[in-house]
Amino acid sequence: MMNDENKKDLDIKPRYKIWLEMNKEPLLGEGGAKLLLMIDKYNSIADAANVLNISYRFAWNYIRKIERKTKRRIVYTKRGGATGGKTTLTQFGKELMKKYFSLKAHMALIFNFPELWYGSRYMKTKVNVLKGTIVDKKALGDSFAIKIKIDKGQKVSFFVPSQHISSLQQDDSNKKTRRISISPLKISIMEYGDNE
Amino acid sequence: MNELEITNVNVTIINDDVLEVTAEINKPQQIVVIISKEDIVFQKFSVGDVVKVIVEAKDITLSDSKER
Repeated sequence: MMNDENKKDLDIKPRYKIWLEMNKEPLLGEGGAKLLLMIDKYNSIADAANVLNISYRFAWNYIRKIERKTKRRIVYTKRGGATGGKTTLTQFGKELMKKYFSLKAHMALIFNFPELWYGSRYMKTKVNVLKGTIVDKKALGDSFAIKIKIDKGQKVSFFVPSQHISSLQQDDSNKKTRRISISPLKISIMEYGDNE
Repeated sequence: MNELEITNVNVTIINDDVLEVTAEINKPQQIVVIISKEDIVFQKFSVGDVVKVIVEAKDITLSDSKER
């Protein structure tokens, strides 16, 4: 017989695994995404393989396998020169890496916040409410382009994949000016008393 | 694609995969929002109106301002 008085909070957690597929076949998994991330960081397949504790041959075969499947280059190797050559990710390689880590970050948010496990409150990222003033309005066929001036001094917050941490931490000063891409979801007239 | 220039960037680690970034909009900036005619009918928008804009930091790329 179970004794409910002894019951404690059970440490039950969901687990997940992500990989990208192409034509229903695996294309890029966690290991491959980390390999691309390290190549992007060190500009070297050998150094990336070393950090990940895998052989150069395994790393190179992994890359070639993706390139054969997609028929696109994901790395570009420049041989020789004063620096002894280097390997960089192509634009397509960067897109693949970004796609994987962005998806992983979104999934991690859901899986690490139990309140998001149920219902439809799927949180892709944080939304921000900004105050602005309409400065122009133009008809564009079935739509309108509304130009809005956003006031300075407003706070924004958002989630980013942790792969950005190195580039963020390399900055000596948080005063440095940066840019973020945003997607306006909705605008509405600001009523008197609206929270800013 | 709309972009905002930000400063005073602070980073908090949420977990191994996700960081929370807070920042401040450092100067007045303009963005363009495309809305349907139905929305215009539903809610009149005129030049000079003060509006609230709900934005999502989407497909985030943090880039140095000087690079652009």
